Amino acid sequence: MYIGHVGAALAGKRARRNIALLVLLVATYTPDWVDSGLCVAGAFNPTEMLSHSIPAVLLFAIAGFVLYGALARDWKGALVVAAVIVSHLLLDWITGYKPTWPGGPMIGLDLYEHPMLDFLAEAVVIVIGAILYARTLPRPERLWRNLSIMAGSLLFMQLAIDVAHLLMKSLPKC
Amino acid sequence: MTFGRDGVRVLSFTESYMPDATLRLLSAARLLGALIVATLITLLIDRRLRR
Repeated sequence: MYIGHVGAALAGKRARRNIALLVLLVATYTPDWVDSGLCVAGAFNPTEMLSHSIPAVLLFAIAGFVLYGALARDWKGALVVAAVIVSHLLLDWITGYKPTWPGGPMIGLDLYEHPMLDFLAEAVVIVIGAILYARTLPRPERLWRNLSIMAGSLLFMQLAIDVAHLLMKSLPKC
Repeated sequence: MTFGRDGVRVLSFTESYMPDATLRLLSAARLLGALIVATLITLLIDRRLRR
């Protein structure tokens, strides 16, 4: 999943409003940040065992929980951060094909191979996240306007990614 | 990823003509770029909506 992960971060904002959105956005993309680092370092493994397997994501979630809890002194917020990190893997099982554990099976619906279906799946997560997020904003009389701006922008980005994916289908992740 | 009839992987134009290191850097830049752009745009919209 690409922009759909932002939907999980937006939902996290609704769950705990005092968490900075930047923290939730970093949390929601944690496995992909790790992949980017591994790619730049030349240590990327196409199975994504170090970034997208169940043990790896659980480790990131525990690290996020401890780090945020210790720095912000907000352990309920830390739980939300950890949940947002775990959501990455759950959402990737819908659109991708990811490792479970070393020696374990690969699982996922792999909708990336069908960009239009991928767009639909991502759109559902984006819209749900945006609806939850919009209620955290001031001026409730502008709810629909705010919701449209956030959801519309994210859907546009996702559409651009899916079109690019259609045109450059065989370009590897790293 | 495309496979020919004999099961051998068919390389795209970019994969065929770019050195591995260039392709890896391009892919890393694409991945990092997408993450950073998505994060920044979301933060910008959030900031605007909270005014």
